Amino acid sequence: METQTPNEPNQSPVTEPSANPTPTPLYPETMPEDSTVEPPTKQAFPSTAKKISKKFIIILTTVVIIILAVGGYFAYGYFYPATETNEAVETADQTSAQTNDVPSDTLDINAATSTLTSAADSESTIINTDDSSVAADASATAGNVGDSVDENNF
Amino acid sequence: MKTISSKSKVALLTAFTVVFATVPVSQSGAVQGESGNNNSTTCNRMSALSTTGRATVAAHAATMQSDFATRLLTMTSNKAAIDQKVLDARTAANIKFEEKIAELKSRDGLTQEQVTAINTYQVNMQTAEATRTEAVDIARTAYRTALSANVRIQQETLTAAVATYQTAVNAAFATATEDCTNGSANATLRATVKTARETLATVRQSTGTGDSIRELIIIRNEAVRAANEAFAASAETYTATLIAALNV
Repeated sequence: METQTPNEPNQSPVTEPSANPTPTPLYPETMPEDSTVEPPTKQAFPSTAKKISKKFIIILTTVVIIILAVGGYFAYGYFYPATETNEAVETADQTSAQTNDVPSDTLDINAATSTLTSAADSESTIINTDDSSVAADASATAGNVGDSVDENNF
Repeated sequence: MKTISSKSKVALLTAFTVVFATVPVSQSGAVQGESGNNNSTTCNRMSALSTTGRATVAAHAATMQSDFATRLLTMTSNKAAIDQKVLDARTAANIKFEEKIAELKSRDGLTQEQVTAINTYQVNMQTAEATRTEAVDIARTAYRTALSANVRIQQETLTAAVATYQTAVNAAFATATEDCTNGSANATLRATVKTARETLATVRQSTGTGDSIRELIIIRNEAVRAANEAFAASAETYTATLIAALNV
């Protein structure tokens, strides 16, 4: 008598087509129950790709904008090298023009006023020399008198 | 006779013993001579000290008076020099101002109103300048008056203190010379001279004018500054008025 282990029928259900004319399922019986769930690869790929593509587009757009901005800046500077200098010159000219715009009559009046106001300031300096420092300490010679006689020498 | 002669011998022996034990005859004359010599030396030395001391004090007192006079003269000459500088500066400024006014008036196309405006500006400026200089001069005069008073008081006080010192020292020397034989004459002279010197030093310290003069300078400078600022403010107003009148 042929000995059969209790597990034999379960071990090779596929190898006995004669016993079961129904087509053997490709996957174990438990598989059909999970057949409604898509394989993980089929589920994850589209959402991740969308996220990556969005990020990629944002980064790419940012880089392009930066490149364009930098390039534009240098291009502008290359094609219009004198523009900034001209602006500076124009500003200087405007400042000079503002000075020159002061009528000469006004300058003359200010100069007339300045002759007296400046003189007043100079006068203060002269007056300050009248400190009479010679009178600051006239007692030094009196001290000499007091030192005329040293009683310690008696 | 024998009894008397025995008593006499005893008495004479006792007397001679006492006398010879206390004052040897051979030496009594020498002590008197040395004492005289010492007194003479002390008196001569005191006399020399008196002569030298009096002369030194008198010389230094004279130097002090000369210094005082020199200081007053220097102050006077400084004042004159500063006054001249101030006058020159004011004159030069006024001449320049007149020149500027003449330049303004020489412009072509001035209307009568504009010429009048220039004249008004000129008068106002000169009036303001006169007000300024008057205020400045008042401040300077006040400073100098107070300064002269300070210096005069200081010199008078020191002169009196030196005179007191000189009198005290001369009197001390005179006393010491007269009492040169007295053993305490030297000590008395020392004490008197020391007291006189310390008294003079105390007066000197109390007559310092440095702080009071600095205070006077501050007051003067503040008055000058205020006068100049008032003038500058007025000048600014007159200048703006003239600029508007000339419509420039």
